[in-house]
Amino acid sequence: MRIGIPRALYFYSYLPFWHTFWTKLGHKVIVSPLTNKGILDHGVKEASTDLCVPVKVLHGHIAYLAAKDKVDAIFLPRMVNVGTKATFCPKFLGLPEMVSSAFCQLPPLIVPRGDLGNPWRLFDLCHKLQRQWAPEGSVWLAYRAARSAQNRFQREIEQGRLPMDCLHNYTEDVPNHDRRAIIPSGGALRVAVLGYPYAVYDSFLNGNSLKKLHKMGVSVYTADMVPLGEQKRYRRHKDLFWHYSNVVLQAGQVLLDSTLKIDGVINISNFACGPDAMVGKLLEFECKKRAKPMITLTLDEQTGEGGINTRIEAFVDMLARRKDGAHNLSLHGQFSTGFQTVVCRTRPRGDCPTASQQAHS
Amino acid sequence: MFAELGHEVIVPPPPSKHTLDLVTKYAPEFACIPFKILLGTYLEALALGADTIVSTGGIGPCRAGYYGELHRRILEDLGYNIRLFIIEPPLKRPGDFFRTIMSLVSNGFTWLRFPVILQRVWAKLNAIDRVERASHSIRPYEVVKGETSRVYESCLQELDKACSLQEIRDAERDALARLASIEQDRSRRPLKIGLIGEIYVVLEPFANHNVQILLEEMGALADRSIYLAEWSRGNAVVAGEKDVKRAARPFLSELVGGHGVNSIGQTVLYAQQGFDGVIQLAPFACIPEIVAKSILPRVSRELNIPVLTLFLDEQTGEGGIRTRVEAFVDLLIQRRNRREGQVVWSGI
Repeated sequence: MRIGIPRALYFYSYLPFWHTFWTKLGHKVIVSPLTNKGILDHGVKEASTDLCVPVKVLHGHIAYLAAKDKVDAIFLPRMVNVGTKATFCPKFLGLPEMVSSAFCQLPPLIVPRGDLGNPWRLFDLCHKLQRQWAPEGSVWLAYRAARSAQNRFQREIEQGRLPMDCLHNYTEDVPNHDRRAIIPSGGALRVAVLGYPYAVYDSFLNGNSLKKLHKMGVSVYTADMVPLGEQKRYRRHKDLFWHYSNVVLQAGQVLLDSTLKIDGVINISNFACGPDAMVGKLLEFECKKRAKPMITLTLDEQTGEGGINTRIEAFVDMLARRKDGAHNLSLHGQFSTGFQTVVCRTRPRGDCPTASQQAHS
Repeated sequence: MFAELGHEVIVPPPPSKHTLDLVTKYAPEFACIPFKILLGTYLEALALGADTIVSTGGIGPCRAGYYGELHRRILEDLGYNIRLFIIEPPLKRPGDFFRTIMSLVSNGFTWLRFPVILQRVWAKLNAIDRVERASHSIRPYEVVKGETSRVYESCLQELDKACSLQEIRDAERDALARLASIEQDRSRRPLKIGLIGEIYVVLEPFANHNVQILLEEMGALADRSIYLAEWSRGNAVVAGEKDVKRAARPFLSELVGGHGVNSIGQTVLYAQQGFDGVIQLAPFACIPEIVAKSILPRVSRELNIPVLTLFLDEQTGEGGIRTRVEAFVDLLIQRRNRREGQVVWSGI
């Protein structure tokens, strides 16, 4: 059987596991290609207008897999929770229903409920899938192989490689033979790029901003490079309710407090993202407390690379000047230009069709 | 209720344009409208000299459960030195719940009085709900436009003044009698429209631009799916709403937080009860409602019930809402006429 996996949302985190699992059970896995203009347009057409762009992109990937009889089934688990109390965003919880309401014709969806409070539940889930879809396969072998693939993937990321460079074993991407890790590149500036995996690593959506930063000689750190154990140190009195949001916030604090001497934070967010309204504000407070500059890039389906480039360049320039001793550049709201005080204000929504840049110098 | 617990209560003015102007400066851009209105209300209350704010918490996955925490951070950042108490659901976070309650109880208070106070507050909430329901069932038939609203307003003031259980009962009986005496035209056949969506914007007329009254003055019978007392019982004390969740199951089997599942379930129930249409009210960027909205087209298709979704934010003008609601009502009238085989008025 050919099983389709859309390259969107949580598959940026869990693709190695599920790819290996299905392959070991004797199925052929077809992963949709990197997001491109066609996929995005298709997703925007099919999905409800009020959804955030990553979910629209998922619809696009589903449309790609559903077209022209490419696959016999699409794997789209309902991810509820992984190991902590926090669940995934409500949009993830309602994902299978949203997708099946949006399309008239779809190949069958494989929709297990991923309530994975402990590793045993994950095995249980795998066991159920195996009994239903590959009765003669061995769940234990597939599960073990999948676990080790996922662990290997995790280790590579923690060593500073980007997920898109580690995934070519599982996809039809051109392998990136540049085995060098993106950090430490010896760059003078160190920037933490914080955001959900499906926004930070989808280079089409974010205008290839990671590679761009790399080319500018900036070392890039992302939330996924921080081991989970370290993130736990920053649990709050009351944590946020969403898994990815806690990862971003806690890993962000780890990076800010680490010996890496992070120079600034780029927060990649999505237009009208519910959890990000909270995360963004809390991150802002954390940065303010430590006197670190922060910029928020808000992505939507109209994001042009140009708009993002300008903002990133300006931000990196500002960091460089700060590092060279221009410490009179104050942050968060006001900065003095020597002649007059300029107050940076958040742009009102709708004012800027590309990406909106928030309050920080 | 807090007045009876021995505190001075500062009631902030009802939300207004000014509230929103205040808050758009400080709130995250994509926070939903309830968050913004609440924060604005706090700021206004603080300007009136409040030093303690009581709010509610919760557990996900809707954002509302985290409002208290973020409000606290924002207010602290603005330099206010206040105490913000967040009441957590007693069964989910018992420790937090009792700590908060204990620190709220001032000296000289005895626990013996607690049930009495609770009973009184509860009776009042229920009375208000019943009077409001009565007003909604009368307004579509009123002969003089706006009369029901006028009578209802003065009834509410009477109810507000009532203190003891007996007074509340009297005020309620009085109010119901006054409403019933309004001149009505019972020969009308109003459309039946269900109002569903996120609780805050459904309940707060300022947030939804009085859409229920707007509908009723157009001559439609608008049934709101949520009333305050009913909801408090269902969520704070016992687990209710089982039938709504069961109705939603064929379309959405997972709880997505907020009122997402309820929106689906209630649409199904309204369709079964033969309503003419459903209007979904939701704050802009409300995640559970977006999930519901994405699924509603299927519900609408399969159960043959029209659905209009209104996303509300601080920039929504009343004109826009009115136009869309009028168009929707027109559509429903034509639909009904066609179903009943009458000649359809075809415009110009």
